[in-house]
Amino acid sequence: MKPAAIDYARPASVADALSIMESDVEAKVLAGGQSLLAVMNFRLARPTQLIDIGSLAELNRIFDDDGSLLIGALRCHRDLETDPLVRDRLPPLAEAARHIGHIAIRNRGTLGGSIAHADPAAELPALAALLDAEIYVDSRQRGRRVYHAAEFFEARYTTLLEPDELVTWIRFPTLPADAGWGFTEAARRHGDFAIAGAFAVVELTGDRRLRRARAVLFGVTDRPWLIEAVELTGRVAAPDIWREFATAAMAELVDTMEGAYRWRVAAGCLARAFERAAANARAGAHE
Amino acid sequence: MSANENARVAPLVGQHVQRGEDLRFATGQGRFVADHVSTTTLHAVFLRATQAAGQIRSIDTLAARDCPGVLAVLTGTDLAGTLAPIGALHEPNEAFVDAFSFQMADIAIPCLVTDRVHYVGEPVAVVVAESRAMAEDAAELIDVDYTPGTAVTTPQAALEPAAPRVHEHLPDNIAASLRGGFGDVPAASKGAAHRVTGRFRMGRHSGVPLECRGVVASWDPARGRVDVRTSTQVPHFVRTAICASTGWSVSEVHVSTPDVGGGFGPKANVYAEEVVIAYLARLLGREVAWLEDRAEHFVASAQGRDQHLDAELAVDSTGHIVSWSVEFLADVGAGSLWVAGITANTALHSVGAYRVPHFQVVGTAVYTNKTIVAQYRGAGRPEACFALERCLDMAAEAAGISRLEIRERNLLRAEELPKRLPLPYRDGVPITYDGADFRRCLRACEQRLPDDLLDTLRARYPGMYLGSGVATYVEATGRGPYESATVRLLADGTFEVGVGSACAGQSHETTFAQIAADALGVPMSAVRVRTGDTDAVADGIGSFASRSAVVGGSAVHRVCSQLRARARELVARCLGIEQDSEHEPTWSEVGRLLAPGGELAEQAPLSVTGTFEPPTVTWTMGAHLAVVGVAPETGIARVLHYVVAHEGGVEINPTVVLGQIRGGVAQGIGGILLEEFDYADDGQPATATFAEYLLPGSCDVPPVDVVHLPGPAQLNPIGVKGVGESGTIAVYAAVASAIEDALSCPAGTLTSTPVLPSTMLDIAESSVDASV
Amino acid sequence: MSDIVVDLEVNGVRYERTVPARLSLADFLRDSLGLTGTHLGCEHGVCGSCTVLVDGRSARSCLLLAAQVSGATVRTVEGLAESDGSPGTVQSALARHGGIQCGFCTPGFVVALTELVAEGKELDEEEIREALSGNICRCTGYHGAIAAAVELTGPDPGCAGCDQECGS
Repeated sequence: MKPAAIDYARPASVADALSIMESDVEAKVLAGGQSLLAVMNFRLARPTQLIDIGSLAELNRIFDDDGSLLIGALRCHRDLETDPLVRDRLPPLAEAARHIGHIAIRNRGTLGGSIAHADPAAELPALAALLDAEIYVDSRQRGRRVYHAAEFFEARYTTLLEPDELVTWIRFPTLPADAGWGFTEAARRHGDFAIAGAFAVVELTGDRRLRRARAVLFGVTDRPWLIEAVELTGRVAAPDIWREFATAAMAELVDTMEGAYRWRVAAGCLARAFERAAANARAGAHE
Repeated sequence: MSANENARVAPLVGQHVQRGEDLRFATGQGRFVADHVSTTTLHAVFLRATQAAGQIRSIDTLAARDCPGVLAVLTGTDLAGTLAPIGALHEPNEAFVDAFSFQMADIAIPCLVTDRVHYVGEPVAVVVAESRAMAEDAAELIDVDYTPGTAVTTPQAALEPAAPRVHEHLPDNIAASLRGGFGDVPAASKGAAHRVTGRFRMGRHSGVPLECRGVVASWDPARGRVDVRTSTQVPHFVRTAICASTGWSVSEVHVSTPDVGGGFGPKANVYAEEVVIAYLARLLGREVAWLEDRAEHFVASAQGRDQHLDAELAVDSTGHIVSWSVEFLADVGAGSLWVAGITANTALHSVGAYRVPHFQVVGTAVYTNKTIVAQYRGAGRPEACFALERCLDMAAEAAGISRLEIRERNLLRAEELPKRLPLPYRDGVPITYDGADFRRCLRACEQRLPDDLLDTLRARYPGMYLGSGVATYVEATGRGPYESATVRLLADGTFEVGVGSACAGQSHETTFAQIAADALGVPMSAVRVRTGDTDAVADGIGSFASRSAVVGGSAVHRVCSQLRARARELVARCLGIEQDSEHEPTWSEVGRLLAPGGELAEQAPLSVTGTFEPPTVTWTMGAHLAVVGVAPETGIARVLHYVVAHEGGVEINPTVVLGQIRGGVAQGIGGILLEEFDYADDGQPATATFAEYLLPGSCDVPPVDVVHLPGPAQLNPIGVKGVGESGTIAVYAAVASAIEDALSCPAGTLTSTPVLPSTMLDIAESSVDASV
Repeated sequence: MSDIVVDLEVNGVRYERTVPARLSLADFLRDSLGLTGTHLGCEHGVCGSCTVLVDGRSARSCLLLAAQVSGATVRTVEGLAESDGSPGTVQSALARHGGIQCGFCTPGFVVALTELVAEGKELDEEEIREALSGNICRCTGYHGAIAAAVELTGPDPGCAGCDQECGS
């Protein structure tokens, strides 16, 4: 389980990294490496070259903007989980990070790496898609571009990212003050990749009717799967509406998902995420 | 000898002595096999079969030989006349063979295959290079051309008349068969009030020690021998296998074990790699290492369990057992050097801890195109226990009594013990359960599950369905034929003790030192224990089958007692000093007297080597109680609380006993809920990483409450029984029972392991449907 | 393919070595520096045996290249003992509570526990179990490791509820 021979580069700036990426399309960017190095050890990935961006401190910063958090791609999961700023301003992001692997993995794995890797069972791409985070990418040829996370993930391990593009920043919009969020995830063991999981965000009107309810499922198809509960708008957010909605919303996935088990677990996760989100939204509205 | 120097009063056996091993392990100073390579060690990599069945048409090694850093590339053809295949490790006693009409096929495991492959992972060629990475680079370039064959991957398919044969030279795929019992099952069961039947399957899983296997061998030109360090539980067997395969004499092979990072059975086996690396070291005159990596381990290390059992239990209207019959198929993959032991274990442990008037067992071990099989903690016993305990749950339901009650009624009582069964054990000696009172353990479990504990758990895990289950087991421990030990007084008055029982984490350095120190009348600090080294003791068996404390420990006790007696006799005879007199010399004085120039120099060395041969096995019994929570939304189960009450012998070191039991329970939980080596129909392994083969983690193993109840253990001088497998055997049945209780489904709903979340979710949902 | 010069501090000692780019930190520690306390149990980041501290934070040394940690400060299990070689606080707690059997996973637990203790948070048993879930032990059933963590991170140092005579 030793990786095949490789070249290694450790650029000192984003610009240097982009130059190497432009010149060697078989190279792979190495951020935290918690997925990449594992598959390289099995020789299931054999890039010609690794471009280690781990020391680019500029990408390991976080900015508290108006209505959003702008987070450098190299911010590690563990920092997202424990950072008081994240926990205060965007608690679902801290929650998402907490569910990734184990502490030692979270100390190395990065936000940008998770977004670019696009594992369909991963928490961070799902949350990014739900919140339609802005994914900033840079390349030598085209400079900076912005992708919308809701459209960014195309398939398993596949995104809109071009081979010469580097994910540099992600801007997560924070939730409206009256919104509630809910998260639930099913895994065989603590820290395992999810069998299925869901994030939901529910916004209520003053009279506790649904203004907007949306969710994302992960682990169920080849990408984060977004659900907008348009038909529930205006209804009273009674606790019992979510089961039925979740089952109906997932109806179209029945035939595409491998295994009825995963479908049922996912439907349960979706319902519970909505239930929690609605409960939190109500709680928020009371305050 | 005089105690004035080494004053110590209380015996060490029975104390929570902190382990001597811990200092080096805690500080990173353990020395495992991979820690014994140096920068000049050559690394071997085995190219393994990628087809489960088929013929090798050709192997092209040219490109590999040309790789930088490569010293050798060898195929099976290159070694054909040089290394003979490895033969079986266990053949049962004649009385057992007769009683069970036992038969086994004649196969041997090839070191490198020559033409036909039998499973994915079988060694095909070996590359030796300057580093592991370079050897892997070269191995990738070896081109093997296969004519694919048809694989069989289940024993049922393998027994079809038209099934392709796994081994060409055999008439069929039957590896072993047996049939035995007592009484008249068909006649007895006919009139029974209730007859329950079950078809059970225990999935394929294994010890999966955290340290993979590994061998480092070097040629010692001065002594004219090969030194082989290998991560094994059975160094003496390895030496025997290397000698048998190479034709070298015993004096040309020295086998030793470094610190071994867990064994659990898969390392109580000898492997082709051990022979090939020893051979290569001598061939190349260099130190050669093969360090199995995890990817290899999933296909190349022996696996376990994988049995199918059809069973029928008949009880009378009050739930008393009338008859019990089991017919099982053991899937031993492409072969097992332990096939006799595994099939015998299932057969001999099928009766369990109960009063069974009529009993019948039929067992067949079957070859398939899957990885080879060896023992795994329990080795055939968990399967037997699972079938019997599942059927008892079903019979309780049929008879309208509780699951505890049916066991209470059938467990052997104090007045029935010791209980002799009309069956010979593997050693030919009639089975005698040398127990005290089998109901005690069940009752002890019950007492450890107060109602408020369940309430507490319910409050802590709201939304989970909670249930509890019990199961009991018996285990024959401490089997022979013997273990050997040696003790020697060193010049400084300390002792070196050697034991044939190799250590793979079982705390032998501590427990054997406790026994030795007591026998010698010295503190533990005066005893140094060496295990797992053919230089330390010339002969030995090894560590497996819950035997080391019993047989190895007794051997240590025996030689140490003899040494002490001999020293006293020597001092009395040569120096005229009476025993226990105030003039009796200390051990260090004796050491000096024995040194060159000393008064006793002519009597040196003072050492004793001997063996302990147990008359037969000593039986343990225990009850397990599991509390399990099942999440109704996902079907994911978690064991929340666990109790083991067992009837053991003297606890040499209670901390070690606790650790053995708790660790055993953890492995049982893995087996019932998480672990399985899965294969596709074409024999391709579907379990290639730890993302697929799930080991229990810190959230998956609950606190385990252990109740140790002393039972008689008169078959050995130190009064101990084995404990290595006590924690594992009954877990499967206890947890399955608890899940059924949690899900309020009929007894016997769960018939196979691992119990998957999808199964539990199906049951949870259907019981909701049924109640609506 | 490329060789890389790495310059880093391990257990208080500064090393400069030229290594193949593909060399993992684990192999670098073991083979180049002889620090064999760091064990390889799976080489795909699951078992936790190879866990070390990189700049004070736990990391899988099988999922790091030596090249990546050039410039970093690494501590291994060997560096967590007292300067005279006697066991450190975490190491002795693990031993005292029966948390060690074969010893192969032990270095990873020592490192994970060290990080946990350094964070200084008071943890309940469930939080401890979750925090240690990235370290697999195949021998002990986790009882001793959790008892050690309870002692080291609990509000009341000592070992209430421990059934081994661990002396604390």
